[in-house]
Amino acid sequence: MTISILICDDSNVARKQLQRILPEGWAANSQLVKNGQEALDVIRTEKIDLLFLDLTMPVLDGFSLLKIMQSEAIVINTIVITADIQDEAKKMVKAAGALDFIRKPISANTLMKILNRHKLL
Amino acid sequence: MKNSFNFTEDQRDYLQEICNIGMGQAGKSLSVLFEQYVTLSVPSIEIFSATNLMSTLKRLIPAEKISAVRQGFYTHVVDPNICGESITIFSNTDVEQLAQLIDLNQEVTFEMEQEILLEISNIINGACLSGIAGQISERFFNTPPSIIGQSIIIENLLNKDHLIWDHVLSIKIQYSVEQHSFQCDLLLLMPDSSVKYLQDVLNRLFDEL
Repeated sequence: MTISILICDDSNVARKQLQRILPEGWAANSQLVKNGQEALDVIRTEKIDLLFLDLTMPVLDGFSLLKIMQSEAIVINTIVITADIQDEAKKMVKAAGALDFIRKPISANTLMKILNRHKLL
Repeated sequence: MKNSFNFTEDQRDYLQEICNIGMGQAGKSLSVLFEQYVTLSVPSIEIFSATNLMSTLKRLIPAEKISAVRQGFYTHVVDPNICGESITIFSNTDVEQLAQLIDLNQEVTFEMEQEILLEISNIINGACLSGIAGQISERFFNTPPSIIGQSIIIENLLNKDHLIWDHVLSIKIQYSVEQHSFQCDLLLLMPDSSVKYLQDVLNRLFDEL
């Protein structure tokens, strides 16, 4: 089964770093967007199974996107990947419906652990 | 990022992400100090030649009066891969806001302002440099921070000691806590050899992507 993935991060480097460590075959089914607004345009029109979301972004940040998704009842497995390493940020995104929270820089090991934890593999 | 001095787009992208991570670490340290959640903004970075330092600073920092703290950094005492001087620049009004955030229920004296400036700049500088160091497999040592000036005009910021550097990496940092937001500029002044070393590392990192 192929799953459709959306990677939302304003940093080209961060998007590539993540793509490189995705499980085999996943990168081919992943779309890349640069901010929350672009992500919103995609998830309103397409079926996305898994969203990797940065928090601090221009135009529309990750927190705001999560809130809009809640208000529009858009349910997507979302893993936040962020340089905002405050415990409060983790609480806030989980309260806003995110599955999990990964601190940047992300390693392949951490990603696999999280994907396993949520039975996404 | 504009006016990037001799940096390719890939190098700049990588450096931007490294600085993002450093600023995230600084935000966490500041949230401990303020005992509150700190909202981060995307730091904007620029790289420019130190010969344009004053004119570029005037554009980057419109405040009439500034306060600034300097600190040296180096990877090794002899033949460092990277070394330089960092300058954290605050605009005046920021310091009073910072004092409120730290919950100082007393009048902010000159000495207290000095302590706040040293503390915050040390946090920001330390987190930023350790963020950079972690990703390029280096470790930075710092000289103790010292005040360059409090409530001075920007023309008085630099002296002849600052003219020895070739390049400047400037990082504009913005944090907000509740209704307050504060902005400061972190300048990393470096010699040519350090910037070349950094570029080599960035190239290697980008190629590994």
